[in-house]
Amino acid sequence: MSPQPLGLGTDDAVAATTIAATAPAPEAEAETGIVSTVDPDVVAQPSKRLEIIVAAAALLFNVILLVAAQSIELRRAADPGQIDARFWPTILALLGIGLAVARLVIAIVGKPDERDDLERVQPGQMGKLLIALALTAGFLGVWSWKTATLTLFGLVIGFKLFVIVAPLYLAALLFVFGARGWKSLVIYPVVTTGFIYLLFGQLLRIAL
Amino acid sequence: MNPKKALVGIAVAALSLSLVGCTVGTAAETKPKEDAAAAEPVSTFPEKPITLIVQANPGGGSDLSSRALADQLSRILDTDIIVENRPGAGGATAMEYVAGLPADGYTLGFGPVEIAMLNTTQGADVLPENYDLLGQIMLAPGVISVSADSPYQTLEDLIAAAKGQPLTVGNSGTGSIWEAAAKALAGESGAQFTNVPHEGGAPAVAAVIGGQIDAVVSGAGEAKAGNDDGTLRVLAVLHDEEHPNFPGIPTAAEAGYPLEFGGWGGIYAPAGLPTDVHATLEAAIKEAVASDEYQAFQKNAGNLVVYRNSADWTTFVNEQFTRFAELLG
Amino acid sequence: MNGFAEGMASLLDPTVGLCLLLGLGLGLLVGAFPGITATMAVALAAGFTLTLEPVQGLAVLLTIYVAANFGDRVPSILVNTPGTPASIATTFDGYPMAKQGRAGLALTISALGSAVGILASLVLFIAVAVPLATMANKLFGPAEMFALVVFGLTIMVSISSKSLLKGLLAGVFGLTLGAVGTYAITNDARFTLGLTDMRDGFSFIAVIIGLFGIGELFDQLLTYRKSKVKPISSLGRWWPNKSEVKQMGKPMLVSGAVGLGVGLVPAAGGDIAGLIGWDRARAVSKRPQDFGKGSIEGITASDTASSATLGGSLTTTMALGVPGDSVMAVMIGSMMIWGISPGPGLFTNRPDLVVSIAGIMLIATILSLGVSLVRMKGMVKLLDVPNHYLWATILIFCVIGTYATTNNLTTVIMMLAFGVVGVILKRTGFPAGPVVLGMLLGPLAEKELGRALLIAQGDFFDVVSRPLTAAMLGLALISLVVPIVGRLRARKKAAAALAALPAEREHAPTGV
Repeated sequence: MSPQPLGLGTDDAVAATTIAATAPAPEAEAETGIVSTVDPDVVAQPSKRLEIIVAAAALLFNVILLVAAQSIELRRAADPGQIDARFWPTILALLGIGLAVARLVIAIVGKPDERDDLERVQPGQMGKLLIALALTAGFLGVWSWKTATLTLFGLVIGFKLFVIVAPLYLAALLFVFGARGWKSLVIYPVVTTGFIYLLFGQLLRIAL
Repeated sequence: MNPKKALVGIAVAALSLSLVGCTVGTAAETKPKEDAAAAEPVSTFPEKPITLIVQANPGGGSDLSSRALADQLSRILDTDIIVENRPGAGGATAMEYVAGLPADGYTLGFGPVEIAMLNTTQGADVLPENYDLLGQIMLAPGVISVSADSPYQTLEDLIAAAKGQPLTVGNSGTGSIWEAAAKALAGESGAQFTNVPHEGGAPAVAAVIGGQIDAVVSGAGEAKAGNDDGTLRVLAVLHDEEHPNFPGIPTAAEAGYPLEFGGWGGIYAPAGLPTDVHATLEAAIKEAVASDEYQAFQKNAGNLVVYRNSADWTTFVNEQFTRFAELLG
Repeated sequence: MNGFAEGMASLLDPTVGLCLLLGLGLGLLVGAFPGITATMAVALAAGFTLTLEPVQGLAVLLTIYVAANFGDRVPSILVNTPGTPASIATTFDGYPMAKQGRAGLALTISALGSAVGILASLVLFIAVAVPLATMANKLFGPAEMFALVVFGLTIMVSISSKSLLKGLLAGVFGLTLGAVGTYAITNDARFTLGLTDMRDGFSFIAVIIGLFGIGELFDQLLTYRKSKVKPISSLGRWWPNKSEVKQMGKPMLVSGAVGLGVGLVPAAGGDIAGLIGWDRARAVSKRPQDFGKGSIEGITASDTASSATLGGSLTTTMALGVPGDSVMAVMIGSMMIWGISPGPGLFTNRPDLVVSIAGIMLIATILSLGVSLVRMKGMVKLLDVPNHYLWATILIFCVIGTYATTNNLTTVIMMLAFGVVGVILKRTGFPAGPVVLGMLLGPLAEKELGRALLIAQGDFFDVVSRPLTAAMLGLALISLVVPIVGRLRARKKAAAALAALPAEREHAPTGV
């Protein structure tokens, strides 16, 4: 995606496609953020471009589904009159294609939907969301090792990684979300982790 | 490559790396211990809690059997046994997961009859040789039943009718042991059965009582309530002797078809356990199965306690594996 | 009456009271945490209740069951995250009400609706459990179930809030999600990409937590401004006034009936009932346009309906021995160990136990209602918590909660992925309700049709021509066509009105 100045209210089209393509484009989003609109940058604006993109995406999704449905492996062919594993997805894909085409036509010729029930995406926030997701992925990655051992003065100490990683993860999240100060970044993560450890680890016997 | 496996692989690699890191510090202490273990017949296993992976949700038959056994194992081995449920894919999730873990005796699994079936029914990577099969701990024989107001009084009646036109026979799910049993009976007798899968044994039995289907093959436990209150007529037990919960009801052999099908279960570990660990675990399981508490538990649950030691169970599982591949493949 | 006296007397034992309190605390707690369902709590508690006497054990298990049904409404209303699947429909009106500063009212009405639902269903259980369950079991075969599910699917039209086409597309998306995994009738794997973890399809709990809770959290994060007031600024008043109490009457009646009926169908539980009850109450309401925007009728309907399934599930479980829902499946396991076989025999052989069960449910409901109303007053403090705490806490609890359902990180990854899907759907105007409905009902519809065809030896006409099936399919057609025609008409009217006022905004109120 190339960063380009975007028009009125297309920020979400960018947001949607950015997430879909998992290619962060902070520059593009920073620029859209500055665009001032008629409504004082609070309410999301209707966007024709967005409507066309999502209708096309829905069409594409259902076409892929139709193709994928035909290639489902069947262990044996269905008896006459019986439905096999391909039947239902095929029906759904055909239904989806019909609906998506109708939606696409309306998106192209009609007026875009009102979006006054949504708020605008604010500058810089997309970056925070992606960082939060990355942090979560990192947390899960490390946590999946479950246990680690530490050697101190010849003494082997085994411990659950969760109790180390969870407070770090919480502190990092809080920092990204704008919290500062030792209460937010130290006390709170430690207390929350302790609570989770007791509730899930001890009381509910979940293998944390 | 399966990303989940990759993840596990990374995890295992990391874990073993960290373990290597520790051994440097404790090498001096560990060595003598190993020597001692070699010199003495008694091993130091277990030194830490053991995890028992259950392939089904908490509260089900497999889970309850596992927990009842774990209570006894914990006492015998003098260590904590942590029961961990990893449901999914008819048990394949848990069984594939356990196969990928280190064979040190600290991870065990509850292995139901599906351990011999999943490769055939789902193409799952679940093969008997992936595991050290430590011992069978229970058996829930199958029964074949019809509704109490059904015209079929005996198994012979049912089969005779099914030779003229196809009859619908319910089971707990496609690829289940009970579907296999119905197929085997049809194959043996020449009857035409349309196998109708349900979401478990209880709904299948209810469907027979409600008159939706003609007959059902289910576990003995699921048929007990209906048999007791007179809504269900059990025609035969698919076992070699009379079932205590169904006095007077013939075995399949007595009814003319020598078929034995049951939902058995046992304890397995990843393949390649050290010999001493294998022996310790096998002995502990045998002792746990023999305990009064465990026996009482299985009796209440409506199951039979049928114990097979590691060698016998391994032979049995391999036989069953071949049998199911022929029946369901 | 001997059994009645005996059953009630056994509840007077002080240890039973202790068990009730234990269950109450556990139930409210697990209900309030997304991911941990009553099923899990009951399953884990079952491990130690096995050592108790049946009445004591049942007191713990049944109270967890009831109390979780109250606790799960709280996160639905306050953070748009269903505590358990049964409170999906609660989010439709509960969360909007909270955003309007009426969270207190929503919580109270929700608790009242739940209590009424459970109590009504208990009456049914005590009075006619065996004949009703036997009749339902005879009448409802796979063909009838298929028709009922198709009827349920038509609700998609009414929960498609803005654009009908988007709502239906979301519904088809949900049906597709439901088709992922093994097709139960033939055991063929679909869209699993060869992964064992995908053989069971998407975890339903992961999807609802992702779509509703995490999706909303991500949206708040994206739209956060320093100057912005928090989405929920006050809880408002707690008690409904006279006119609001009046509004609750009709939806309670209608959705209560729906809940009782759905509860008797073994494969359907509180989640489906909540959605259908909400839809039916809307259909008979004088103000259907308010549904989904913070309607008192809406939240009453969803919670009465989903709670009214409890007695129905209990009925099928105890009278047929068929688990009415997943909690009851665990309960049957425990009862078998105690040497009690649920089934018609239970009512004739152990009437005292049946009375005890009903008594426990009754006391648990009253206690839960009391605690819900008292405890909720303390929650005002939660509103002072800054956003960053709220976000971080919700995120980690959703992660741990979904992990706890399977002990498998894949489920957590699914949940997060559906959080991203949820925010995209929200920003692009696709409602999440139809997705969930499709995912819930799609597999049922397909399976029941497959099973019906097996029994009918492949004769499709034989399946749909059964009288009850045909009638329900006819109703489904009507409930599909009527709202669509209504929508189109409203749109035409609006267009005509707009033509008269060319200076006004040109967007029709209801798009297609």
